[in-house]
Amino acid sequence: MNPNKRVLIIEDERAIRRLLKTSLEGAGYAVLEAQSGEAGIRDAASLRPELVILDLGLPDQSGLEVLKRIREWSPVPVLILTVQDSESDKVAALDSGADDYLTKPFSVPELLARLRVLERHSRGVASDPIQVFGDMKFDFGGHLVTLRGKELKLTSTEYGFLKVLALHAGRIVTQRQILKEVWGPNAVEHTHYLRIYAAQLRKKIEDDPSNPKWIITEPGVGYRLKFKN
Amino acid sequence: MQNSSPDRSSSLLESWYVLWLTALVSLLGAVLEVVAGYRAVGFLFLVFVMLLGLVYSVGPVLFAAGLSALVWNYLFIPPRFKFFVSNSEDFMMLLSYAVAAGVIGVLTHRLRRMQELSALRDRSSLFLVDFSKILASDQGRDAVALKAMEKIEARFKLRVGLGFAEGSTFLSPQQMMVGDREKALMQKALKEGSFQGWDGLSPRHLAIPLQGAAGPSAVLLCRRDSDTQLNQESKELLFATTEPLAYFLQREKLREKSLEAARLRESEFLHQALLDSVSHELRTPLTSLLGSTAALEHSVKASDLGPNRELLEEIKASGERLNRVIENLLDMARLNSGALALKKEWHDPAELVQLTLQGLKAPLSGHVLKLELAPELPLVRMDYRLLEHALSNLILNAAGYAPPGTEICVSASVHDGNLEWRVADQGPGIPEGNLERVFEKLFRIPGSPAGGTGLGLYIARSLLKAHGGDAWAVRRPSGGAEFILSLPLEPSPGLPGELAA
Repeated sequence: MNPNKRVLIIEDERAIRRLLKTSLEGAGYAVLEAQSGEAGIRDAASLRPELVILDLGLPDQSGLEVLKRIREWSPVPVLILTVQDSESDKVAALDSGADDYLTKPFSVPELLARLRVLERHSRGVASDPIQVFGDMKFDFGGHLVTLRGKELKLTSTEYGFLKVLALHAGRIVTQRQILKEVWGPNAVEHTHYLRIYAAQLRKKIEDDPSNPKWIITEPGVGYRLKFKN
Repeated sequence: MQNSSPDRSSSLLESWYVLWLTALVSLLGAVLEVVAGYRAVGFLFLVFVMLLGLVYSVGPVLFAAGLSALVWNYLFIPPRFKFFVSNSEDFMMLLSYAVAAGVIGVLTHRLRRMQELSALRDRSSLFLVDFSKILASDQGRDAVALKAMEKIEARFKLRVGLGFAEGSTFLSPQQMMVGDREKALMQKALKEGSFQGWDGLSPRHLAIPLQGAAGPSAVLLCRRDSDTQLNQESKELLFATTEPLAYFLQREKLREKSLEAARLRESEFLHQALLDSVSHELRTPLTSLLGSTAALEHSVKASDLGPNRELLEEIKASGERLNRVIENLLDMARLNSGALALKKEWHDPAELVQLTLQGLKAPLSGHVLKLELAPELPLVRMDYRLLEHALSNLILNAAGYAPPGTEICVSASVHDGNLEWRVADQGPGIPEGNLERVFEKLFRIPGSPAGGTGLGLYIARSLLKAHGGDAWAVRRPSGGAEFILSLPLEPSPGLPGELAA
């Protein structure tokens, strides 16, 4: 772990802050804490953290508002914390520039995995035309995907779908984002396209399509390409 | 008013008086004739008829006009003592007299009648104003209705009572006795929406229905004493009073309803606010509790934990269970308040099963899971989170009742245009009589193991019904219970170009 990575936690609940602080410090992060949205925006500007964990349910202003204010000037990766039953809040936050989300109650290993993915993306690896995600190798220049050395026979739409996920590998991509990038802005409501193509892709990629390991559905929110490096 | 003329006996009496009065005036005329001549006598008769018009009714007045014309002709106009007029001037005068006397008599009578009527109308409207004032007061329905009825009793010399269409309330200022016949009369008035009684069948009782927004809402029952007779005007006034009374009752009913609705809204609002706050207050410590156990598990080596590992597992399992209870309570609150908004999207029904089971790994770890997903299941339009909640409630219910080590089979297939998810267990099953009851709120099969809120199945069915589907249970022939969630399929959505081609 990089001991210099500083994470800003914007969260009003002391218990959650303490849990985050203990787990993150245990994993080698330096932790900064803000108890309100206003303090969070100020600290994000003055302390320049490498990562931000933002609770959507803050007492002084909505987390969504805090996110928008931070996004006005900073591309810092932001992980959102939300409660279970608010898919629309999650989607709104993701479409407003959040990089990923976690649902309360969350597990610490999951949190650390999400943060690692965000760090990886913030290092800007996406500029390399050839990328490896575990057993899967992407050649973005040649429109080629190989799985365990075997080339996948994908239609252009399937490739487009998989590519969007791979460009954000490990991170959630919202339904809207995929539909817009693969089928264009007129298709953003056609979520059934996603079900059909996710099922098709799984048949080609997954060992057991009914128990997917690569393409993970997050119902009502989006899809995630999961991998282990 | 045509039918308000006094009856015949009083007319005859008046005519009898007219006869004598005419004789009296004739005597006066005889005196007058000596001084002013026979023509002046005509004027005397004219004044006489006019005065009669102020007191008597039309018949006797016309009788007086005719009689006096004859008397004048016979006794005064030459040639005397003959019904004959020799002078053409006299003839014209007699004729004009007869016409003038008749017209004046009738006009005067009419004027008097109009005055009487308008006085009556004034009294009636004064009464109605007073009556409305009583109804406008703010003392509660029953107190006001009783006061209004006292007013009616005083005005019409009746005994009255008020019976309501809903419930068995009967209000009466003087505790009027109501027998079966009166009840039947009131029922009939309610049913037919028209007044009943004061006829051969029921000479003393009258039942007037009071019209509400949706049919008669109450009946006013009036009892008259045998010697009380209401004339037409009074009857009309009595009916007129029932209108403001009916409005009053309707208004009271609406007010009661809107108060009730406001109370309900307020309580629902509080209910929702309370549950939101409770959910937040419970989830925050729960997040820290579950997060901390996961962090412990993650950071401490299994061997170092030793026997404490089981304790940690227990904390985790309980925390997760508590989390599901909170979920149930929240959905319950939404269902109750009607604030359940469905976010319908197309979803893969097989994926619903897979993801639901993934989330239930820990509570299902003691059972053998079997998955039966029909190939090529159509997409279903549903609120994913709610359906997942319904399905996991069924699965957790099965896991709670079926002994560890037994098989729980979860399947998805299409039946008669419905998508059906089935959860079959090898537990003790459900007694025949309880197949429906298990879906009731807070119902638990007697003697069933502890744990569970009694809300899971109720919520599952409510959520499916909100989708236009249903949930039910059957007994498996091989023993055990099977729960079914069924959702009607909608026409498949249009496919993207590449696939459709």
